[in-house]
Amino acid sequence: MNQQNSVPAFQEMSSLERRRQHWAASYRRFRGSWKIFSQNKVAVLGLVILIIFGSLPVIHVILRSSAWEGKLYDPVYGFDMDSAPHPSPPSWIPANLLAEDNVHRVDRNRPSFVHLLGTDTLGRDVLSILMASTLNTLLVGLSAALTTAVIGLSVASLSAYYRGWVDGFFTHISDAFLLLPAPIFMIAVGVYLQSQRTIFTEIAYMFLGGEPLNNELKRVIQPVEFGIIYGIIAGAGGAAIVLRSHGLKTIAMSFVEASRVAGARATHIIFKHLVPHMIPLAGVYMLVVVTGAVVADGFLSFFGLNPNPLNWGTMIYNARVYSGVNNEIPWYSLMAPALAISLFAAAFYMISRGIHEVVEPRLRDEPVAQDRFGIKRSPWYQRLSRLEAVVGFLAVIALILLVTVIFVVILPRF
Amino acid sequence: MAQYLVRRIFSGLIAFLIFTLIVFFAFNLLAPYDYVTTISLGLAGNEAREALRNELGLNLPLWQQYFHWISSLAQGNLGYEFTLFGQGRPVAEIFKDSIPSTLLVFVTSAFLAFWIGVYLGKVTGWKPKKGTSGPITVGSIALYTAFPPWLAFLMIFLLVDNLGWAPANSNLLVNPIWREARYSIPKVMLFMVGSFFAVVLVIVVFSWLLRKYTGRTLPSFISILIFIGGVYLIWLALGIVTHSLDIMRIALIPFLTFLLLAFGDTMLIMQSGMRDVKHEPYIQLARGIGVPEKRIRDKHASRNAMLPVFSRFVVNLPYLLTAAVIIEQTTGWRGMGQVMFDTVYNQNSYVYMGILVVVGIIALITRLALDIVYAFLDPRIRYGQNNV
Repeated sequence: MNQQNSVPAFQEMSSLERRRQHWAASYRRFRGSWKIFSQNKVAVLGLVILIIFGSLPVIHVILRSSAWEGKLYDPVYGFDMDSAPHPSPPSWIPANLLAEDNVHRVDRNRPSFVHLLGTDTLGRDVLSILMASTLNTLLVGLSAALTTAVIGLSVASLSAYYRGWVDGFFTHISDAFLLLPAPIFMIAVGVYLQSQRTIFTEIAYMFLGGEPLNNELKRVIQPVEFGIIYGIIAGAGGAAIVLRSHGLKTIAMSFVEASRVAGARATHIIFKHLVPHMIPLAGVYMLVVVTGAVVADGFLSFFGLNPNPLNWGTMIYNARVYSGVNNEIPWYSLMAPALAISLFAAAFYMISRGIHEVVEPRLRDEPVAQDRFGIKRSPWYQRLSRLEAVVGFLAVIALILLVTVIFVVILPRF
Repeated sequence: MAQYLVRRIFSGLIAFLIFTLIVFFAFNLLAPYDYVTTISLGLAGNEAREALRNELGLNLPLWQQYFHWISSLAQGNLGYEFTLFGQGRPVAEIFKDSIPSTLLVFVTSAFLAFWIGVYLGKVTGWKPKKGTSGPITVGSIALYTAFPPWLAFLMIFLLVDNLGWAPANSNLLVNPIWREARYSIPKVMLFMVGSFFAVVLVIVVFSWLLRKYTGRTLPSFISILIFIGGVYLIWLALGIVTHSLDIMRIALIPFLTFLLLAFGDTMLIMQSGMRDVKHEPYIQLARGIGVPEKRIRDKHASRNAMLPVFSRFVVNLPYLLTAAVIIEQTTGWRGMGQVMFDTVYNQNSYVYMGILVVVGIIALITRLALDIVYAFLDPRIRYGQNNV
C-alpha cells in the first residue's frame, strides 16, 4: 500500500518511469495468472514436457559435436554394423549363445548403452533421429499457431468492430471453412507438392515434348509451409468463429464506448482494446491447433507423402516399410516416435487447459489442498522462496547433465 | 420463428456455395497435373491424351468446369468416375458400395464414444475423486492425442497376434460363406447398422414409457441384454447371423481404434461443462429441497452441461472423414476413407469432391437442425438478443 502511494501521478512521470511502472504492472498480472495456472497440475505437467522437448534439439547439437561425433549417430546416414541387417552376428552376443539357430533370432535392434532407445531396422540410432526431428515438429507447431492467431484475430476483430456486411462476409467464409477437414486438405497438399512444376520445367517440356510423370521432381514440404497452410484452414474456421463471439462481447463493454466517445479511431479501438482482450482466448486456440497440426504432419509423413527424413511420422513410416527386412515388428523405432508425437501434442493440450482456466474464471475449481487445520495450501512449488527456486532449478539441470554424461559418455565405454 | 428459420437456411446455402468454391478451386489449382497425366499417359501420344481429356471434360477452362459441376450438383447428380476409357460409374453408385462399411464402423463407434465420453465426463466432473479422476483425465488426454496409426498397430498386435480374436487378413471375401450368401456385403452391413439403431431406439422408447407410467428406470444390464437379444433376433430373421459375425470380427480393429481415439474429446468437454454447471444456484436449490444427489447429477446438471458437447459433436462431423481415411488406410478396412485417399492420389476429382460435398451437406443440415432446436428451446436466440 505504502509503495502504491509513493508512485507519482502518471502525468508527472518521465517516460522511463512510465515504462517501468508498465512493466511492473505486467509482471504483477503475470504473477497472478501464473498462480492460477500452476494450481492446475495437468497444465504444469504439460509445461514440463514441453520444456524437455524444447531442449532436445539443443542437446542434440551439443552431443553431436562432443560425445556422438562421427557416422555412428548420424540421424540420416548413420548406421551401426552391429544392428544393421547383416549375416554376421552382433559383437555383443556372448559366444556360447552363438549356436546355429540362435543367430537370426537375436534382437539386434534392442536398446543398449550405445543406443539408448535402440536402433531402427537400418541400424540408425533412434534417440538421435528423435532428437534431430524435434526441431521440425516445433517449427510446424509454431508456424501453425502463429498463422491461426493472426488470421483468427484479424477476422474476428474486423467483424466485431465493423459488423454489418463485413461481419456477414467473414461469417459465411468461416462457416464454409468449418466444413472442410484440414487434415484431408493436407493429404491433398502432400500428394500435389510432391511433383513440382515451375515455369522452367514447363518451358523444358515445351521444347522436349511429353509431360512430367507423377514421381518426377519429388520435393519436401517444408515444416513452415505445412504449418502455415494448416493454420490458415484452422484459423479461418473454428478459431475465427469463437474469437468473433468473444470480440462481440468485448465491444459491447463500457470502456469501448468511453473510448469511442473520446474520439478514438478504429485502429486505436481494435489494437488497444479488442485485440488485447482476445489474445488469451486466441492462445488457447493456438495450442489446440498445434495438437492438430503435429498429428496431421505425423500421418502425412506416415503415408509417405512427405519425404523429409527428419520427422517423427517418417520414422513410423520407415518402421512399417522396412519391417520386411528382418521379418519382425520394429518396436523400438515404432514406439519412440509415436509416443513422442502423443506426448508433444498432449503437452500443448494440457497447457491450453491451464490457460483456459486463467482466461475463463468460471472453469476454475476451488483448491482442494488443505492442511489439517482446514487452511487452503498452495502446492509445494508455489511455496518455494526465490533462492530455493533458483537452487532447485540449477540442481535439476545439474542432475540432467550428470545423467546425460553417465548414460551417453561413460557407460558406452564399457 | 419463421423469419429466423428463413435467415438460417439462406445463410447455410451461402456457406455451402462458398464451400463448393473452396473445394473445387483449392484442390484443382493446387494439383500440378490432372487425372490424365497421373495415370501415366505421359508416355502415350499427345493425341490420345487430348482425346481422353476431351471425353472427360478436362480440356475446358477451370471456371467452365466448375459451372458444369455445380449445375449437375443442383440437379442431384454428383458426376462420374474417371477411367482410362472415358467416363466410368456414377459417383452415387460408388457411394452405394462404400458408405455402408464406413457407417458400420465409424458412425456406430462415434455414437458409442459419445455415450461413453458423456458418462465419464459426468462422473469425473461432478465430484472429482482422488485416485480415479486424475488417471481418467490423463488417460483420455493421452488417447485423444495418440497417434492414430500407432494405436491401430497396437490393436492389430493385441487382437490379431496375441489374442487371436480378429483374423489377420482384412479381406472379407476370403471366407467361403460369402459364395452362397443371399445378400451382398454392403447390404449386410447396412442391415447391421439398421438393426443396431432400431434396437437402441426401441430400448430408449421402452425405458421412457416405463419411467413415465411406473416411475422406474431400466437397469443398464437388462438393456444390454435386450440389445444383444434384439439384434440377434433381427439377424436370425434376415438370415445373416454368420455373415454379420464374420464382418464383426474384421471390423473389430478399426471400431476399437476409433472408439479409443474419439471418446476423450467428448469426455473432456463434458467434464469442464459439469465443473461449470455445478456451482449454479438451481443446483443448490435442488440440493436444498432434498433431491437425491444422483438425480441432481443426471437430471439437473448434466442436461445443461450437454449443450456444448452437442455443438462440438456436430461441428466435428466432417472430421469423422479424416479418422476414416487414416484408420481405414492403416487397418485395411475398405470404405469411404480408402476411396477418398485413392481418388485424391489419382486426382479423380469428381469422386473425392462428391464425398466432401455429401459430408458437408450432412454437417450443414445437422447444424441447422441443432440451431433450430436451440432457438425453439431458448427464446433469447429466437429474438436475436444472443445473436449479436
